[in-house]
Amino acid sequence: MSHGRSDPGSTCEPNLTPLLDVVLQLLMFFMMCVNFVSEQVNRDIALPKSASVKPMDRTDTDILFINFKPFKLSDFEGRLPADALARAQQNFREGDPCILVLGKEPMKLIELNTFLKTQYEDAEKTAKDGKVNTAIVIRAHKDSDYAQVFEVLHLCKVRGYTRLKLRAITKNTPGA
Amino acid sequence: MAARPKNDVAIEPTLPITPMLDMAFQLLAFFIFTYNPSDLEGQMDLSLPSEAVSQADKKENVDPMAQSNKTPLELPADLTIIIRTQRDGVNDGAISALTVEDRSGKETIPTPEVEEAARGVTLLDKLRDKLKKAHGTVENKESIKIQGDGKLKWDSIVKVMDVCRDAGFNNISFVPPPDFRLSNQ
Repeated sequence: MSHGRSDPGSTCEPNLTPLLDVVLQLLMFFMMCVNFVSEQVNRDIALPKSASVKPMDRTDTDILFINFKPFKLSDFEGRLPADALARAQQNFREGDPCILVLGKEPMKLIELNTFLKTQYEDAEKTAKDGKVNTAIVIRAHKDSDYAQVFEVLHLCKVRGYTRLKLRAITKNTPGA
Repeated sequence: MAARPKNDVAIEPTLPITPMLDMAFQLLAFFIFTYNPSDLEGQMDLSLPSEAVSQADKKENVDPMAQSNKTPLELPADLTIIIRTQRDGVNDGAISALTVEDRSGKETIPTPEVEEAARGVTLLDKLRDKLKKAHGTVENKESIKIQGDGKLKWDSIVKVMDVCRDAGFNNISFVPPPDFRLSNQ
């Protein structure tokens, strides 16, 4: 560039404005695409793939997420406080069914039962017409046993929840 | 702004674009590197009958003055798919046998022949054909039941659910596994 010269007639600056425009457009695009990881959704869970799932219903506001996967200690290292990690290590063996709900330590199926009970009673108290309209979203790892997933479904039903949703990854081509 | 004296040399305001561009590129690079489009999650609705449906489970509890249920009566499913698995190290939690049970009896889906398997026909494809045929004859064209072995992988169940939906059965319900008992009992 010709900054060193004193001759005002010969300055030759590249026109940066269109470049900047494009860069800012791109920047905007990538910023929009950043998926802010929702705290309730656990990234470690590999959901099964399904061709027949529907897009998510964003209108629901009252949702309880139940994440379900075989226990693996390495998933929790560095994420749980030391005492909670020690408890988890004591209570679970590798591969045990483990339930993760936001704000709670890893739970066993029995603990889920009492958790759902208190949740339902709380929801009943706060609901306007005494009717609980909570949707339960079950995110089960694809390697979970059917018996355990069934038990989760069963517990939800016994506790009175009627709106259950199962999560899966969208697969567009059947048989792929 | 105040008017300048006429003899003042006009100063061209310069916007320092270069540092701004530098930063924009930094940010751009950051977002490009962290760009990780996750697979799209979707969901399947399961609508369970509410508890009110089974209010009168005993004869003496029946209230003759009670209003009849507003919701239309749901017919029981005609078909049940029974999925077996083996934990033998070979098909660990994958589907090993499929049986379709209807009113008249059970029919096991035959495993694909060698030449069929070579063409890429799987057990699930055979199930799909069978269900599509059955869909024309059964009374209840919406509902179907699935019973899996307790040790069956959840992934396999979802695959069978896909096949059921493909064949036209949209209302899928689950039957407890044969050896099922609650873990707190």
